[in-house]
Amino acid sequence: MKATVCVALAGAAACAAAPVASGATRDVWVAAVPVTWNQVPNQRDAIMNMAIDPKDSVFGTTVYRRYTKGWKHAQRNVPAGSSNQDLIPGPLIHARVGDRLRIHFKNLDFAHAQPHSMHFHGVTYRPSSDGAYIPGVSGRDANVKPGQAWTYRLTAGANSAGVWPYHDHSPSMHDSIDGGMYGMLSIFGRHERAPDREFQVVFAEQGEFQTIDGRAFVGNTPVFRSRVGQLIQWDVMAMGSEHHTFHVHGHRWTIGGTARDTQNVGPAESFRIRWRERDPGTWLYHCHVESHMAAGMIGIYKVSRR
Amino acid sequence: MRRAALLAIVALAVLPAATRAQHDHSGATAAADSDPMVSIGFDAFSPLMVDVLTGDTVNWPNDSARPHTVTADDGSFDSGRIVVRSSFARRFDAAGTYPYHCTLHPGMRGEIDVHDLLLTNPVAPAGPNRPYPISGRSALGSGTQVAIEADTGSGFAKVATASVGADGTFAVSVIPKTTSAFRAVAGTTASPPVQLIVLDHSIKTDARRLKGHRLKVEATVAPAAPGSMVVLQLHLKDRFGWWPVQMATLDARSHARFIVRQRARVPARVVLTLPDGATILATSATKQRY
Repeated sequence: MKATVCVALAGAAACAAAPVASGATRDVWVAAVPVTWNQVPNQRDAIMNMAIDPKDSVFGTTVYRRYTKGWKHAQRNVPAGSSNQDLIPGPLIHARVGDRLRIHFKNLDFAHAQPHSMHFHGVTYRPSSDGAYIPGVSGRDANVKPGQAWTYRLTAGANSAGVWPYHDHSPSMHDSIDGGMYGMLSIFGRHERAPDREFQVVFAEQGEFQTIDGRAFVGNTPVFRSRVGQLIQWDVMAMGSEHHTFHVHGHRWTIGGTARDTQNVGPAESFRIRWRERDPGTWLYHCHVESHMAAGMIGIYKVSRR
Repeated sequence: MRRAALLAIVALAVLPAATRAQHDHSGATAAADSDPMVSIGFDAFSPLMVDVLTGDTVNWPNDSARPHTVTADDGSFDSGRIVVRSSFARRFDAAGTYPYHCTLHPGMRGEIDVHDLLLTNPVAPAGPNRPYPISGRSALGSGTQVAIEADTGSGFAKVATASVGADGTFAVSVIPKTTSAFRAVAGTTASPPVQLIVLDHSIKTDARRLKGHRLKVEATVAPAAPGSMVVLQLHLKDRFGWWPVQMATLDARSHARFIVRQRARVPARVVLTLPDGATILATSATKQRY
């Protein structure tokens, strides 16, 4: 289909500080928790009709998880209707330009006993909310040990609209990012309409597999759903060390007036795509790097007529 | 990801071993297709740890987009710079543990564990009280008597004896009763253990609909296995097969109850698994109607 709404493209670099008028203050409660993760719960590559042994797809890891106030009750990371996936990526954090965010983070991973942190792209903050470990320089924000907590104070400036990564930047970041400790900020314009459906696609290599949201092969990766007439938004980013090309079958969008159906995304880069859906059917979305697609980076997008 | 928990062999899918062998790093030992292989990725070796037999040659293809080295921590071997689409191979002639790293990227570490006895990993589960072939390789010489020991949770005990053949292999048939770890022992030498899954449990289920599009499934496992993991799976078209929807632990009566919201009537079953929630030890009959 042809895109009916423009594309908002967000670069990788954190934006410069920008004065912001008063907006809402949003409190988000997040914890690092240990989980046993299965990249391929149906234990098969259905397209190639190949079985996947659990010993190759199950491992212990640490993920970001959304909680209610005071870390009392665990919640789903994604809003209802956005995905049938959970835990990887971390909570989808929404804000509007002008908002202030207070991200209350607690390290509840006593199983692996590693420090963790949260480092956000695309928003304005003081160094004490950077969450990036620098020996002898950074503070507790970058080295939150098991049982400890930190509140990151962020501001969504005028140039923060779009989608942005966040991820662990503590001393354990290389292992924990490999294990799925990343998520997305989704910042709407001050008066911008929120989409009816918002789909998160995070490309990341993970051991033997090339994953979308920590899962590999159709059926395991998120099955996204929408209806004809809905305003849908894709939030796309990559983590790790490889570049990917995001492709959706049967649809097109525009960048700077040029129609596209495939778009590059490199490590920690991100972009969002919007369109008004009008093409019912069962479609594929995937990374078009062939070896990545063969190693699991592919999923299903279902559009119903009503 | 805790990298040690993943067995990543992505290189095998990307570049066939035979193709790689043509690009062996100059000066390295020649590699054969059957040799143990460790893929060099962008920032990690995979698998991180490999068990090989004394006399085996390990092959390291560089499957990443930048050069690496394979350098022993104790300096006993060093590949030098392995450029892209090249590889390094080394023969290990003495049992022991050989940690190594990449000098260009110090965070990249791996380990080769060299043994005089190795058991082949069972490729399929066994039936209870039915013969199952166990095989392995030895560097101890033809005619060596090898004890096959099994551990069902109370320690290893001898269950069979095999004799090493002229080709260095040995094989024997065992009759396992339940899921067990096996190892081969000759004198003071022992192989690392391998796990043989025995499908010796049965699961009875009862499924019924509740109000609010909820599905209730009760499961009882025999013989009793309190504390074991059971998983309710639904066969979902969207998921291209059996999909785990809820996990539970068997109570003291070897019983578990699942309640899930499920509008459409789809095939349902309960499986008994290892603690990973995925390796299946027993499967109930499939409930088509409820």
